Amino acid sequence: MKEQALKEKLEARFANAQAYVQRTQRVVVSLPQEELGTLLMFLKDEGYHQLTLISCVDWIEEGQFELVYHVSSHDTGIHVMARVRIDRENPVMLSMMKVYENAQPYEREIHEFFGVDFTGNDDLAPLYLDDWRDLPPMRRDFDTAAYAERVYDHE
Amino acid sequence: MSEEQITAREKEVDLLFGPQHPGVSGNFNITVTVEGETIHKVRMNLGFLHRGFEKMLETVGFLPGFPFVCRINVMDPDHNEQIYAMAIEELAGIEVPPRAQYIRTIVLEMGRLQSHILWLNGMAGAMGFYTINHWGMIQRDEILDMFSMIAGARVYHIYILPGGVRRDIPDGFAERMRAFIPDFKKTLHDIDAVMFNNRVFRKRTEGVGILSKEDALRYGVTGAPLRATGVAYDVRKKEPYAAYGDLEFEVPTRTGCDSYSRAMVMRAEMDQSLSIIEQALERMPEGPAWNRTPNPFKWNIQKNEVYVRVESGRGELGGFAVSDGSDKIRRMNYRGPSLPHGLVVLPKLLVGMSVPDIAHMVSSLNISVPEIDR
Amino acid sequence: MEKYKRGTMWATHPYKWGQKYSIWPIHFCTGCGSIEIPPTMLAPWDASRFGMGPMASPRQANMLMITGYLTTKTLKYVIRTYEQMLTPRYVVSFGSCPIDGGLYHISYNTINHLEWYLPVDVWIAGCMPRPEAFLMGVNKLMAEIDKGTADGYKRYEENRDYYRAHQEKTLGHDFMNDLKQVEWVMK
Repeated sequence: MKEQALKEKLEARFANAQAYVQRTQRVVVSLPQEELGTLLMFLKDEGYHQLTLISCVDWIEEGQFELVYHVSSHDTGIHVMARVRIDRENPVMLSMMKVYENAQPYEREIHEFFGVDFTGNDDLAPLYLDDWRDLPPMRRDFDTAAYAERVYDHE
Repeated sequence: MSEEQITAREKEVDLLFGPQHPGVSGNFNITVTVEGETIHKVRMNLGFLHRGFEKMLETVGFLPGFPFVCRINVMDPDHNEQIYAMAIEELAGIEVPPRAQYIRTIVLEMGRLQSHILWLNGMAGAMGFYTINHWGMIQRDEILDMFSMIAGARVYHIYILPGGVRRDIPDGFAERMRAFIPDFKKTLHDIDAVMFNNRVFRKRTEGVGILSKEDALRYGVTGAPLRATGVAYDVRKKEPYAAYGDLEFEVPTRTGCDSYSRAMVMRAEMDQSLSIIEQALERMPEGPAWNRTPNPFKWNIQKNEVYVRVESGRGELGGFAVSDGSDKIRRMNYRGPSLPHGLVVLPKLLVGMSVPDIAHMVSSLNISVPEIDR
Repeated sequence: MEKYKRGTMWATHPYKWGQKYSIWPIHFCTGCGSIEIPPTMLAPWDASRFGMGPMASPRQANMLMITGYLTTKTLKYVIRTYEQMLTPRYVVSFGSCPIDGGLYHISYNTINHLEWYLPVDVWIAGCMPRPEAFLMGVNKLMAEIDKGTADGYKRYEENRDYYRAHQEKTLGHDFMNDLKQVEWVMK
């Protein structure tokens, strides 16, 4: 099975990675953040040309952000989710623009909504919000209903 | 003052294209620096439609999230509902009965058709073919009236729910659809004669806005702009969902890489959509239209992370969903296909083009800004 | 309401006749309600039989349609556009979002009460309103012009401090000179 073959290849090449086959056409791999660049370059050479999405999940109870890089291949149809965990107090991650050029807007969005700093990405100006002075809004400790009541129902 | 004394910067003018502009289909702003009519610099300015959906979905339960998700992209709401329903079904392990899969296929293809008519609206309007807008809108209105028959509302349906669809299709729908299809084909025939075979349209689109295959793969482009470079990638074939695995249809491709090729791919997709709807009506199985889901007031889903994807009118629409054992979704990240098209491809393509091409290129790449802003 | 002898309005009240039957909305799609505007303006419901047709420039339009929600970013441009329009000018709010926030009342980026920022002449409820509802709203506006009560623009001039205070509280003190996007391009 192609997914099983990919999982074994990843675990053989990256000693610190834990991969598993979630279902057909889905492979999930977790690894430390320093090795992500090498993993993505390896996958790109294997034919995983499309960076679909970069997601960020706020695990506030564990004091960490989880960044998930979604890449997929048009030939095998497999969609790989590469997960890394970074510290929540001081969130810094290396930018993946040199590997996948369209990582730039996703990193810009995560910087705006979660506050993660991507070194190597020189255009992290706000994309959606104008003059935002509160917490980054997608963090779990930002309460959107309370903010809306305070600012937009102010009379 | 002589020509040499005027500096290069003084020859340039900064223009704000939108948000208040007849050529803006949606609500966004592109700030361009032009010299004469040639564009030198482009800066996308988005966020006019940002409502914070992903945050709002985290504060309501699973079922109450459905009125929200259809509003993420107003041009093609049904695929957004399909993504959220597929995500919850995969997180919780819920099956969908076969009849509901066929009904979902019909609803999704109707959504694709009306979204393509909106694309035609933008494309024709950008070039002055205003008659096409009228003809297209009449057909789109018939599709919206059929949606009204199935779901009760014209634009936002809240019809595709986890476990199936909200209710079975009513009597009389199949006859109405079978009467609509030849009528729509006749209109498409007229539109071909007036627009797609028109010398002016071909002159404005052939060789314009070239996006090569290597660039398209590099920038994460999906949908018709990718199929116009020769890559036959369609999620309905690569990872079949709903009833697409049982139905026969083609994935149209062209190799021109220009705006004309993208337009012809979209035009061919409309024919394929009509064929899919006809087949689905023929082969629809009997049975229930939904499977029971748990009591929405007491529904917890165990910890899981999934990614689901569909082929919307614009490309690969995806959703990354995370549940954490509570009764609300932890994180729902939508992947709008227009994001790489609008933020990576468009600024690169527009440099060197002229001002009338801005509206044309936005329509040609079929960029829908609510999908980028969410 | 005065009753006109059939066909005499143009002779007795030429200004009202002209204003009533040539309402030109400005081409500005602010929110998701604007997807029902093309069917209304084009062939299916044909708003031009009421004298309506979209106009590109605010200097030549006399109606502003707020179709749905307004983010703070859009609100800056809407106020700017409204103040560029010549009087008499009318504001029609379309949908439930301008009334009290609608579905997005918990959103951190959308305003919840339009009447604090702009004077509204006609409210149309719905999410989103059907084209028939829109045309009924336009007919109501015509009736208001007849009675002389479509005077939102006069209220805006007389209560300018009230509106400015609300606008500045939400958008910041110097929002009319906010041209950040041009600075980016010039960098």
